[in-house]
Amino acid sequence: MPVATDPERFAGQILERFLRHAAATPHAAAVMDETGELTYAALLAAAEEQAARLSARGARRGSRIAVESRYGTGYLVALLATWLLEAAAVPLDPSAPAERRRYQIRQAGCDVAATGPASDGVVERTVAEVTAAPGDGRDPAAYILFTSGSTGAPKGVEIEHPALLNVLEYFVRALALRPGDRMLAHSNIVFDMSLPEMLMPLISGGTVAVTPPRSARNPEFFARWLRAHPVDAACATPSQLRMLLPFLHGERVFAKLISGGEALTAALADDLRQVVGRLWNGYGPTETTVAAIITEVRPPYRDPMPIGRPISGLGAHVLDERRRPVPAGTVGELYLSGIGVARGYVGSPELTSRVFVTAPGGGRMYRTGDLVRVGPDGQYYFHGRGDDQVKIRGNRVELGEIEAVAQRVPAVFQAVAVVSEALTDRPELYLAVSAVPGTSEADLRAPLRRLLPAYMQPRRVLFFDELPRNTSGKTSRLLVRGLVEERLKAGRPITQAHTEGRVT
Amino acid sequence: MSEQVNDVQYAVVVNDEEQYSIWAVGREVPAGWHAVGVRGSREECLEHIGRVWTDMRPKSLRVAMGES
Repeated sequence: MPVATDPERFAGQILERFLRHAAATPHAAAVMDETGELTYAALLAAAEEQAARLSARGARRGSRIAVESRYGTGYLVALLATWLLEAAAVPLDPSAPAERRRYQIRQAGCDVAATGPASDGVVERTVAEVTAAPGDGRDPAAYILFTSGSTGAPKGVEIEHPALLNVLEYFVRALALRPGDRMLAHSNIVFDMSLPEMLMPLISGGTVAVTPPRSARNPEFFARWLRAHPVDAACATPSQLRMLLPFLHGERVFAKLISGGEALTAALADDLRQVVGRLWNGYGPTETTVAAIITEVRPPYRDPMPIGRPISGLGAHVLDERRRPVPAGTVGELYLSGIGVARGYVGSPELTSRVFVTAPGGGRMYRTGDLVRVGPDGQYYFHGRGDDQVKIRGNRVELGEIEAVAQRVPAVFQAVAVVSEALTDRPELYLAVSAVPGTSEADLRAPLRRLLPAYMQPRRVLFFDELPRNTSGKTSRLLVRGLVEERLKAGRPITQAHTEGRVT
Repeated sequence: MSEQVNDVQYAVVVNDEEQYSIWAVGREVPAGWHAVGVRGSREECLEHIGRVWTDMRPKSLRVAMGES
């Protein structure tokens, strides 16, 4: 089946913009990585070839194509190929546990998988292995991205094309990206920050600058590479920036930088002044597509840092528990409406209707669970979470998902996941467990490793005879955290249930 | 005057795109949404939605694709 590359066919999509640049400047560099460079024409040819291969294996309009990759050129080719076929991409991390990936493939209803080496170089070497099975995929959403779910299973957020194009075009305008600008691509594809990195250049005639695979595990190497290859634009989490900073030696490696995924502090913004030209702070859950609120920040910096104002096409509403607007300037829960709102959680209508709620006029709002306040300056300020979702090195983690996995172990009575900085200078996960005497850490580690990605693994598993409850009889995370920190600071070994004295 | 959370009755509501949500009974349903006639506890309403909302594509998209 020949693949149509008429931009008109993809009106309102990333592809339309990319195809126009490919026609206008076919010889411009679209993507470069440590093994070479692809022009716009070559990238399009690679994507068309990949699309033809996927099509021959049964992919068709509306398919959901599982794309296993970490990041890089091979992923970009697979993503464009998927969209050329009018199919939806389901990015999966090849380093995540197999059982978790199988669940995601099943839940998303994937009928075709495009898998490649864990770290992709240039296209020719890494054209994906394709496996196909007949499926019932049919809807041309742009992508389905899984996030941590509190009930013990990841949730597949289904995002449509207009939502993605809206936010990326807004970013391109805000950062004033121009043809030829180089934008850094380093984020894992299961994190939606990877989308602006790889697609903002392609809709503005720029170049995707893919970091060498080693960068992900070696901040010193990453920093050295950046000093040799400074970029015009980049996105990064505060955690990543903190790791890079000591090795950047104050060199300006980012002309423009968007910080996102976690709260940006004034101290970090100050530390970044040497290495960043212009700095933006962004906020947004996966459910409303990449980012919903953003602002450029300028010194002098003061905590709390503003997260900005809603991007065009999105609405932000600060509401109380009965969904009424809170008085101006007070903290309330943030709801987001507009073009960025996801179709929902794939295969989970109950979960979808629980958090994608009614908005006046027939639209829907996403209930973020984040607490915010609108300042006198009209800017939004983040005030933490109203529930048990946390960020671990930029990754969104539902503590309930870790607990649900632990509680499936028959010997476990109670399991409570907590976050603490008692032993470290950054938040780490710990799991407090009460279990049948003799239960060991290994009994819990096996299922945790089988079902959860590396960033969700607790740093330590601690056993207690009983976990404290609050007055309503529910296990109290706050009280448990206190116990865990007491134990960590005492430095006592924790290897088995019932080897500790009663702790209350 | 505090609301007894456990006693709140919900209604299943739907919009023109045939997307479902729930709404506390007794408060005016937002414009663009209407009740489908199912009421119950929050969980009962969510369970009903789980049964009836089998195609999560917006109606306009289903129509555009000729599969409505």
